[in-house]
Amino acid sequence: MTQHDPVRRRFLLGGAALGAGALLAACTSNESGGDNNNAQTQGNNNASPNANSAPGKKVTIGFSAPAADHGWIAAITSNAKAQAAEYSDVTFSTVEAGADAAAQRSALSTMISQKPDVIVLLPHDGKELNAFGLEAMKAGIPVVNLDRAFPDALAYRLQIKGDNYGMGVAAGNYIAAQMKAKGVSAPIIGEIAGIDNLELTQERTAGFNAALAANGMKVANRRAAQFTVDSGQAEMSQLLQALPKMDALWNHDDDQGIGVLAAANQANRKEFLMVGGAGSKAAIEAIQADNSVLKCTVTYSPSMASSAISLARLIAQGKGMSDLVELQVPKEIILASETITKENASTYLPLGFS
Amino acid sequence: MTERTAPETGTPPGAAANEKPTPNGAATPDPAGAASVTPALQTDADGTASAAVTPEAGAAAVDADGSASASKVVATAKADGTGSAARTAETGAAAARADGAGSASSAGESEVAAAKADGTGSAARTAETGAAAGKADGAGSATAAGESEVAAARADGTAPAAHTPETDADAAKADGAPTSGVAAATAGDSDAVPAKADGVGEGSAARVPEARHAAPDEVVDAADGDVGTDDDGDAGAVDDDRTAAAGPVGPDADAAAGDGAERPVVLRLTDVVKTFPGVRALDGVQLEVRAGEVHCLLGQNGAGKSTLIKVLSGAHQPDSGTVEWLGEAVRFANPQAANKAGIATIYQELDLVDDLSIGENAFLGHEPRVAGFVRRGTINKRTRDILARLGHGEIAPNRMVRTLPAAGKQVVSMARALSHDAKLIIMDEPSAVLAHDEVENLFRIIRELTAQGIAVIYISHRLEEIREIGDRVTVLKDGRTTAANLAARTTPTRELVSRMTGRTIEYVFPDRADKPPVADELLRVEGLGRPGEFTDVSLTVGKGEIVGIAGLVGSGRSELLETIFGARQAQSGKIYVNGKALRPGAVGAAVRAGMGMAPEERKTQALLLGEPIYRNMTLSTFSRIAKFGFTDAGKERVEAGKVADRLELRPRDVRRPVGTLSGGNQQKVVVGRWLLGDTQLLLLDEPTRGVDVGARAELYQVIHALAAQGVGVLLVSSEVPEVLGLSDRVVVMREGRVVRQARAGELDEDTVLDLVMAGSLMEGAPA
Amino acid sequence: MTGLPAQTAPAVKEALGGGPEPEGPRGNGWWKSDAGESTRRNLALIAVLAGLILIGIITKPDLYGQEGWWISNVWAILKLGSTVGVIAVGMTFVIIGGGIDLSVGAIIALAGVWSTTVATQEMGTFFMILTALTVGVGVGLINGFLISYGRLVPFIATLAMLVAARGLAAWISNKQTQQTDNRTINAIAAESFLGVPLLVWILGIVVLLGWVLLNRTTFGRRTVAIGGNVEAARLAGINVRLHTMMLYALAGLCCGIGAIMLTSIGTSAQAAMATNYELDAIAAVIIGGTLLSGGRGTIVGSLLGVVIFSTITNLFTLNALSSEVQNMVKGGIIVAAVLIQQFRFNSVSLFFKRNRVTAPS
Repeated sequence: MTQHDPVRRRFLLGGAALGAGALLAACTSNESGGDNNNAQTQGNNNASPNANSAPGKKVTIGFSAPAADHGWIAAITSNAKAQAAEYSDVTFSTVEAGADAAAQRSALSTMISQKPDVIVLLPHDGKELNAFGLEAMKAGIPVVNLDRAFPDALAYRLQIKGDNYGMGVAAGNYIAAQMKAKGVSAPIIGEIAGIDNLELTQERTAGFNAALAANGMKVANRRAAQFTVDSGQAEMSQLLQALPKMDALWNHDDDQGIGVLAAANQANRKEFLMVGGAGSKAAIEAIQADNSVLKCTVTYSPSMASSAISLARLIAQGKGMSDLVELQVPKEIILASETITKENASTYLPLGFS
Repeated sequence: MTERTAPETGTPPGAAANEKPTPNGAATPDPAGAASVTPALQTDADGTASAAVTPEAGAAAVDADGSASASKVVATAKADGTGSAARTAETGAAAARADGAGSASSAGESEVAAAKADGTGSAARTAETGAAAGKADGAGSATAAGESEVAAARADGTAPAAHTPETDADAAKADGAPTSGVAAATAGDSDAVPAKADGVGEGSAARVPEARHAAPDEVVDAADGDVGTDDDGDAGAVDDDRTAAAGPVGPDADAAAGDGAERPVVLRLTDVVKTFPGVRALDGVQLEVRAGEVHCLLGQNGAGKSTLIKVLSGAHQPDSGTVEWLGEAVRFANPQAANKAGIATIYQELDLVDDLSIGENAFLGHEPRVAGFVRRGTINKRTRDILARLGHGEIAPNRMVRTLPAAGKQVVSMARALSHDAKLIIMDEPSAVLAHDEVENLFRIIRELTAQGIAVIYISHRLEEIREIGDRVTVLKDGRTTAANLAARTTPTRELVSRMTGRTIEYVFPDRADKPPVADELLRVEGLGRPGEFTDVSLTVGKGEIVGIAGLVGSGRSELLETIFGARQAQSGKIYVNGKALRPGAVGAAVRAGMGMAPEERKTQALLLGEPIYRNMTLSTFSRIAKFGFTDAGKERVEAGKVADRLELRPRDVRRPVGTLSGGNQQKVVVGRWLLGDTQLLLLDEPTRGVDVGARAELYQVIHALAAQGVGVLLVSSEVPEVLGLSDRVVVMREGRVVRQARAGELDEDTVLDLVMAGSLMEGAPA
Repeated sequence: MTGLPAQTAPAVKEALGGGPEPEGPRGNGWWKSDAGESTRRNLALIAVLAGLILIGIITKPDLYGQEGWWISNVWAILKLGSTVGVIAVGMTFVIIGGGIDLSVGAIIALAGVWSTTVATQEMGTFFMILTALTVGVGVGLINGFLISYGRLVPFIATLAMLVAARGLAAWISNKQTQQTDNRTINAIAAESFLGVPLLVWILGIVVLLGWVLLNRTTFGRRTVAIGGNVEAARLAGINVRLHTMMLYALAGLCCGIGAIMLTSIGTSAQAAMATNYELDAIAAVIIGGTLLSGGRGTIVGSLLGVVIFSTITNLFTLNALSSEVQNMVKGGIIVAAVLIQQFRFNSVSLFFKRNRVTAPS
């Protein structure tokens, strides 16, 4: 090596570093033409104005949901924010829920001290945060429990959640009907579930199995993914090997469904019918376009967050729901799981989350 | 070789200064017809006396009229008709009796320091057995059983001085001649007042085991005026040494000094061997430690001290050989067993938990419990007692160890040892972390401990400490005991050093052609310094010149070499190679400038033990051999093969992993690495450590050949003869400084040793 | 070569008398020596793999009976392990060199997300690939710099990077899944060439290049030296710090490649992608025979490790067994592999001789 080399080497390295840095900086921009965030708010899709949406008493809504590593959860938070923004009489404050239930607990205790008028909470785990719900209710702050349920009725003023069991039932019923319509007697059915540790996954599977059993069918092979795209793809690729011929598949979650679909395409497998879950925009569009195995999805819509905010506001303002005779907001609302197929896809499209 | 079997040729190791070597003798005729077996050392027969070496069989004492004795080795038998001196064996040989003359006595490992029978007195060091006291008629006699040491026996008809051991030796009684003064020497634990022989009283002065340090005066007194300096300097010289070399007076004025030889043996190692894959760490260790003594262990790095400590502390089990603890053969399965048995170890890196209190540390692992709950009060109380025993009653036992200075932490380590009721405490370089005054405190504590009968094994490099605190010294080299039970204060330095580092056979140095004194300068070092390691070092190495650096461990030699090579950053000074300044602190720059270094620890610093020989050899040059970044293993093997041939590598197969080679061959690989490149200057750090004789000679050849080709060599070695034999010029370092630079021919071993050691010797001690 | 005497002087030779051959490794022949150990280990892994396949055949004869299914299953297994396989190559280098990299999964996520942002996608295929690779190398260099020159312990440095990189990925992607419509990219996971899926081609090429780099170049030699005895390497003149940094950059490059592969596989990238891939890679490298302490390892072994784990996953899916048991089995295999590493063949016979295991101090 000559004397000059170290100097020249450093110069080259420096230049390369600068160039790379500039290039990389340019690449981080994620702005696109259209609005990325298609929040599902009441204002957006409900044409008729509501008496209740007229401005009233000013209220503060405290909101907490787990950090979004997943489209559905991200949609929850963005929906809540957007819905709150629709109301001029609502002050919206959030706390970071942290990585697990314990972190969320400590974050929430700071929220209590700020004395919001009402708290809207999607807990990491319903059982683990049940005690917090009780505490807040005792302190006089009504709690709206979103999606993952507190077991104790005293822990919440309103529990609004999707119907996980009903999801499974809807999916099962749809598949059963389709199989019968096609005349398949003993269909080979696959299932790709989400994170198995969560109770909601168990409920969904239970509903699915129940609906299938009622029709004399059962699941041939069930794999559990992690609600992420690559885990969905990995599990699906192996499932396709295990079932060289499959008639139907239910994938619990449309986000991981991207990976599931990719695996199916990569393996060139088209002979089966796929049902999704949760109702993402991409899925609804795919169903509408009818260009893949995905024919249906059962909703578990993050729009429940928007509803939760609206109802929380009503609770704080002491009003009831306009369509009900009763003067108070109900105790529990379980949103029905709706089956979206090509036929009704266009209706649901605006509700699809990204 | 241990002391037990005295060699037939040459001086028995460790014996006091002036033994007269004796030739092989023939079997002595038995004047009285009794059997005397074995070669006589020296027959000086004017009809009667015989000196005989008898085997360990219980040979009967030869009763000879006018002479006799059965005994092992006669150190100096001088019979002028009567007396004989005898070293008798371990058997309970009857005491030799001589009529009409003094006799040397009996059983066990007795050593006659200087037996001078001029018809009367005899001095005898008798062994462990309860040999009957030798009796001499008409003269004083040396006494009795057990480990007695005669300090200076000077019989001019009267008093002997005798050390008596713990056994109940009868006091020496001399008929007709008064033995020394006041108190009879009796059973072990007595503090004998210095005996004064004035020809009258009975009894003898005895040095008694428990007390450790003699007041030198007392020693003298014991032998007193009656026992002065011997003319031919035997016992007397020894006595003088003790006077001179005696350390500080023990706190107890009554305490008489002992050089640790009379107490019972608590630990004995016999032929202990311990091997690890690829290395024989202990290769036949003998060790004997007595109760209440400070037994020092000397040895260079790699001599096996750490392994020995681990074996003693139970962390390792020996592969063969016996370990006897308190008289019984033991095998400690783990350190807890050793602790329970009463052996405690204080490691150099103190194994204390900073975040626990002193008491908790002291009782770590064996806390007093009730139903699983630790009794903290008991811990604190017992710790306080122990600390008081150590003279540190003022330290609170619930104090955090973290808050203590290094000396304090050492006290805690010792407290832990005592909490196990240790009877033997092993200390590994305890003074390494201490300041000077703390060392004094350490010694005070050690004296307290030994006064209570606890034995201490003390490992240190520092001769001055060994002189001050030690009783006996055992030297280890290459896993073997090269000298055992040397007197700590009186053994000459030169002997200790040579036992640590010297050869048992002669060096084989190739002839060195005369070199012109002036050679082109290859390396110049100016004022190089690293604080704490070495300062202001300047030297030069010329082309084809071999410069050797002599010095002891800690003199900064290895650090100097590493700094020149760029492995360490110099704080001051400059290095020039071929006149050009060298970028300091960069090994790459040094290598490019043509330097190569063989580090001190080849296994941990130079070799990839799992890799084949050729890869180790090409470690610096594979890039050059490679083409476009692709390694050429074939060419590497060829090149390595050439070097292996030149260096006579055994085994020759360069594909073998280097870890399977012997030390000498491994060293050849390291040196060979630099032969592959364009090395102009070779730095060698202890190149022949752990290398067998054959490989050594080959390495010397190599070094000379390199120099003949114009390569400059700068080598560091602890073995002075090696430095002198190999080098053209010698640089002597001591404590980080260059104290002398000269041509090798102008120096001799003694001079260099003096330079290397000066300042660490007590004044007046033999050089 | 510096000169030496042609022969050792006869007098000296005589004095030496020649020494006895020191003990070599047990037995004779290359087969049983240290050099053959890695080959023995790899053969053992292949045996394990064969055993797993055999179990598959036994438990699912109907599947294996179907025409063409067998080969599609082979591709499925290899594709499943392709991304982890690629990063395992980089991880092998890092671990042989004495370090560890916990951030590889996060680097994939960051590279994947960065290369699929709207801006990057608009720039086209080439720039997407370039971005992924650049991000991978760049993050690897940061890791390497912190470890080499900042003297951070590799575990800590890469652990911190793991967290930071995922956070950055989440920030860039706004926690959304970024789908790619780029057909070239998406084709990588879907297409084959000469009957072999492209993903498998990529895996094969990376493994081959890795093998050459490790075994035939000075770069690989330096890696082994530094991992085997960093002090010896330093004192032999090797620039340890620079080379260590390069090792992490290499791992980062492999992550960049893996990001492209994984993006194609999922036709999208998200901040949560490649979760736990670092653990899978490290596990594969370890059971492949690389010493966690460095200085020894093979690329082939790491590849075999990846394939073994993929085959286990495949086997479990074929038999519809739950994933919990699968994870326990995986854990058991890792433990067994490390235990075997500690008992080398020499030590085993010594063990039986002495009835205990000795370890050098």
